[in-house]
Amino acid sequence: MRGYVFDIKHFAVHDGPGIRTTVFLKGCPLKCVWCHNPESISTQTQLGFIQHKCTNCGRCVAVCPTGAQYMDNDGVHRFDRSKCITCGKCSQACYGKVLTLYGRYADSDEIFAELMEDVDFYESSGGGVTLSGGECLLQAEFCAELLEKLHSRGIHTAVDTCGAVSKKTLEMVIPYTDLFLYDMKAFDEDVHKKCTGVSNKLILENLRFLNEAGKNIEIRIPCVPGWNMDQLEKIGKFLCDFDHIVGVRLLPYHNFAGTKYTSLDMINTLPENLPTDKEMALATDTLETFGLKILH
Amino acid sequence: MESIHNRAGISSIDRDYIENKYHRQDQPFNPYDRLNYHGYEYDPSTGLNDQQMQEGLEALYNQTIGMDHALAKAKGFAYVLDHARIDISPHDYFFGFYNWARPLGKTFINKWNREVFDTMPEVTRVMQEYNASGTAELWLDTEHVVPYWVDIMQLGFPGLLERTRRYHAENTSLTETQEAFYSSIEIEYEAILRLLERLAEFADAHPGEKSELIADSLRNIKNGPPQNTYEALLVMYTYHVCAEYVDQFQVRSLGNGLDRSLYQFYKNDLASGRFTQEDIRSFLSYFMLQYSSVGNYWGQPFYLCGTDFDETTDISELTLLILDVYDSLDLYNPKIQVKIDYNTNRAITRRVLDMIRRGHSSFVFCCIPGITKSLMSCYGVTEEEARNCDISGCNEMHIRGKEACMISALPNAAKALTYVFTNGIDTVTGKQIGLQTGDVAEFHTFDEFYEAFLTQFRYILDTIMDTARAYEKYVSVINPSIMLSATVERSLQQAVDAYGFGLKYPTSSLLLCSFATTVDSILAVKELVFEKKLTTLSQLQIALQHNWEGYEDLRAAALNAEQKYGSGNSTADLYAAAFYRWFSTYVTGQKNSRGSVYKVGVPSTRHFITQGMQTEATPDGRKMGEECSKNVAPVIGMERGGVTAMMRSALNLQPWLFSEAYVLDMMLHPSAVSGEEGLDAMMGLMDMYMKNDGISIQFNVFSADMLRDAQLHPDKYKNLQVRVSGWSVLWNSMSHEEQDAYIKRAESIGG
Repeated sequence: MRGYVFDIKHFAVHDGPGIRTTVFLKGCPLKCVWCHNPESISTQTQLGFIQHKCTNCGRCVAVCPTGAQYMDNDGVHRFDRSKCITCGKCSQACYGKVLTLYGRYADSDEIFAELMEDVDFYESSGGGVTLSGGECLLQAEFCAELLEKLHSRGIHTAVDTCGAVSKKTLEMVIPYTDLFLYDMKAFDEDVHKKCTGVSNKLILENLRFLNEAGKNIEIRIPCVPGWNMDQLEKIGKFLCDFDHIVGVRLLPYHNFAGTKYTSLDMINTLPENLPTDKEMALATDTLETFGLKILH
Repeated sequence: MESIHNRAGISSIDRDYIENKYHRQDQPFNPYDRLNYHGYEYDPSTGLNDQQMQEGLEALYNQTIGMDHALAKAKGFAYVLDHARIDISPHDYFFGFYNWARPLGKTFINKWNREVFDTMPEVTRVMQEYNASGTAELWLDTEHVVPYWVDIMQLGFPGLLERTRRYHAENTSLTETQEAFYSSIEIEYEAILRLLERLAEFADAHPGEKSELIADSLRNIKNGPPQNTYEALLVMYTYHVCAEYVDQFQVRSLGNGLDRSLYQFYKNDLASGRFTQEDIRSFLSYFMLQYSSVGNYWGQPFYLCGTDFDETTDISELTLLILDVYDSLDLYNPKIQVKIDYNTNRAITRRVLDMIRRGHSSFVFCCIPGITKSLMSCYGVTEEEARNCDISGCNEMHIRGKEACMISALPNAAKALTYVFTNGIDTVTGKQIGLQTGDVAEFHTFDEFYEAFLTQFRYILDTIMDTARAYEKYVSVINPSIMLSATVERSLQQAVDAYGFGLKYPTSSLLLCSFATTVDSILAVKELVFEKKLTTLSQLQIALQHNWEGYEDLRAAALNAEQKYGSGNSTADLYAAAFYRWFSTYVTGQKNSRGSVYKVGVPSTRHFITQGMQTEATPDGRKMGEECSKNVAPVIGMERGGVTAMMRSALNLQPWLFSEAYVLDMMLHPSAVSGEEGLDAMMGLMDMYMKNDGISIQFNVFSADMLRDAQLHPDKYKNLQVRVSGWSVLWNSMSHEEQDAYIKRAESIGG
């Protein structure tokens, strides 16, 4: 079966134990203001164009079938997104990696073969494969098929999820998943909605469900000053009763994704303020008071 | 001993004293001219200044004309030691030796070198042309070797002398050369003993907190082998001073494993109460600081760890102590190789990886399984010899006490490729240096092109080896290895100079340069000309002649070609491995002129930059003068599949085919190896590398942002050290071009 992916990252070392390969699947039910993978949100294929890096060589213009890529009167390469059919010919012709196509369908066998190239690294480091996104479980059937293949070869598997999916969806991958990387963005529903556009009711329920299913869970909390850092105490209090949480990882917000928003003609919603070291230390202290293990 | 409570066991005053011992830290310093500095002006009544020393040696040289060179050199050596200006400071456990500017070079050895080459004008012409064109770097490598420290430690200087005298007396019918061989060793070691006495007397006359221990120890090592850790370090230091600065033989490792060579002394000292662990920590600090203060640009190496052939010895306790001292001193020189195996204490590997992560880049890991396979396969040494080999210099593998490998040359494969396009003419010198393989525009198939390249390169390799054979046999005439020969019993038995012929394996090596640049260039021709038909060989030839100017689109296509070594592309991996094996198979086992064979390796120096400057534009998209690829690393930016794909490609070459040296450079972004998980990941990389017969590997953990900042603000990064091939260098001592090359590499990993 085919999945809809936008990236595969080898030597990922912070998406679960050991050396891992992370498969990023496209499409997400949330729209977090701080999202650093804006290309992951839409379920549509998108073309990114970084105008300021373009050398105006015109190769893309020559291969574009719709005129979306064109040269203006000054000989400067322009991109008309409204005419683009995301065929990808331009990004293939682009030598400067200025045009990038996000989103491709790939068969689980093809992805499995690529993932197995690094099997020696997984074995030597206690690593494995992580499915992430976007929200990978929007493509739960594909995930289940891929995870099952990996599991049958003894590869450690992790699923990185925002949790905003149905229980039925979770049930499909539970048997083949060794570790869930579970995002907690806020505890209060109104704060969660403000940050992500959706309620967190289902997310909190699903976390309980996974815990009851006895799955190992690593909680991941993005720390974004002015948005969710006042939620940590409530999150800590909520989490302290769960017995399958192996640890909590605090992810300090960074704003490196600005160029990606521009390249996709998306409105840049990235907050300005980064957390200070002091704020991160305080966040660690807050969660540790609830007996939670903080992963570094 | 005085009580010092910091972790390194050295007071700041003493540290400051040693750091200024060879040159003043607050004054401009050119590491390439390091010998012409003095940190302190020692008491003139103890000996001569450099000018007086040279005059004395010139006069002595004139008296020795016509004498056997070993004997003449030994007389020069004794003159230097007897007349050297010396010092023992209250701030140092190790003596000062003023005349360290290799005085025998100018007065004796260089002259003999000239005499030999004057008899071989054709050899000299080839060497000059190859060096000037960047086709290969050729020179007579007279002095890269590790002495047999086992015997030095067991016998001490008087024991080595005694053993020589014994063999001298037993061999009754000696030729004049053999007679000179023994006499020269006796003269040199007698001079060393006199120097030790002179130093001890100086210490007696200058009482201080350390002087009693120093004087006693100097007399002890004058009279017998070292008895404790300090005396063992003093022997190493003395050997190093006399060999490196006077006998003119670089000591390419301190100890046969510094930890292993010191371990018995260390255990005995602790058991007997002679010294405490803190005392030893302190001695190690003073010892290591000597080498950092010398500031030689190639770094003073020693190696640690390793597993004995019988796997019974565990020396981890001392290994970890040495690492801790090194860490607490925050040094970049000496540089350290860590020999690891499956049973190496994991704490050591983790400790070193963590140090690397914190910016200590002066480490190379050398994996014993790969080393063993390589040495046993390529020139038939025993398993014990292979496992116990020394790591010499940067990361070369030499059989302990039995091998002296001379680097014959560093052939530049990319240059051979450019000769295919120029019909053998070098555009740098305008000379016909390559073969006339025909007009490239007339080639109709890729196979014709590939064959022409191999023909060009084979011709270069043959020429190099023939040339080297002509002069390498004279190495003992030019620079007899007198101090070294005393440490090699086989040499004493046969009355033959050790470095030249006396060791069991007097090997030679060729170190392959521009590997990935060459492979990518071959593949670019295959892909762009013969598969995608984007251009013709004739057009490509013109584009290269114009250094790609006016051919930017074609260059972009070349840079973006699919088949690039190190990217995980299977065709590229196939060609890379094929070329690598072809080179190895062609050279390995060919005879040298010292009765042994050729080995191959990758260079551990900076030739990827210097030869890059002499190499014309190449079909992979590289422009004239840009750096070539380094070691077995991919061309910068071509490791598109990330770290894992790059390591897979490099291991696919079958590293063991390079039995002199194989090293993979791996640059990692700090964020990729942060936290415990990052350390686990680095351990995972190491394990995978070792399991697949990888040999040496070195890591640099820097982001491009940090390096750019360091380029702009050198003051902020005074101690930033990076690893350039086998050399650990201070960032601030690199040229702007070298720094740019480094930043480019950091950028390619997403920094």
